Amino acid sequence: MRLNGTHQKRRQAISLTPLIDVVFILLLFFMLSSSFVPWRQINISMPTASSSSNNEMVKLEILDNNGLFLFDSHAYVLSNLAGLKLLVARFPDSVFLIKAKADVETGVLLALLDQLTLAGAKNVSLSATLKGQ
Amino acid sequence: MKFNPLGTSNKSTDDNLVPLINVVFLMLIFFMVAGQIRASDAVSIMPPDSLSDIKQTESPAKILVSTLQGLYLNGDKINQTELSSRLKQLYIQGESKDDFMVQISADFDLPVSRLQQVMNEIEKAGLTRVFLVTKLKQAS
Repeated sequence: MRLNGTHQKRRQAISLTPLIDVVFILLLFFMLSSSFVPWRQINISMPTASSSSNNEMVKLEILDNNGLFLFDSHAYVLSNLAGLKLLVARFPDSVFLIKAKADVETGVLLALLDQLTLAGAKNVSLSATLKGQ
Repeated sequence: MKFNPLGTSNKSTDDNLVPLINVVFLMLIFFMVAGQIRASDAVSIMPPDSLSDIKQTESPAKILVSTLQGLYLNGDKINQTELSSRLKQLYIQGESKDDFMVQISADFDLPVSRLQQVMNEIEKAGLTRVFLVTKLKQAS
């Protein structure tokens, strides 16, 4: 029998390895389950009746993915905020209906929605696009 | 005088781990505080940007429309034809009928025609409250 010749009076302090294990597991859980994208949502509810028929409706149609859209046979570009402000100022209280050609991306649709809101439009509706009219 | 017998020492062998634990705790606290715990979607979706600041809420019917990977309802892959009937089922089984909202998560490059098709199916199911999930536009 191999005995220690000397008697060890001091026990080893509590080891930190299990602590690190637990902390790593917690860290892994939070890393995998946390989301850093600022999620938001937009209301695209469909109107139940033609409640907006008393307001004048301005129809805009998006032609392509670069933001080119058509109003009243004139072409406008989405990025031109000043031009949009003039357009919106001509129809202060009307509902802006946005339509788009079939292959336009959803991102462009929302970009136009945002630009119109920035330009001062109060009622912008996507229902015309989304009902497929 | 306190002499340690040969072969023993009072030094804890785990002292080298303290800086590691410091760093790991810092990372843990960062993730705990800065991230939101959220279940991830069945398919990865890149939502379009928008200035909308209505926070996203929980919805009984979550539709994922991916440009390349099809249509999912509450985590199950479905065909467009079944969408309307499944939504009706969810509506009937749901507890709050008055504010039953449908949430659509669409990719930013999804063609509008596909979004139209999904909206038509929702309309066929008789549901009118629909929300589109977006990402807050970061100032560039």
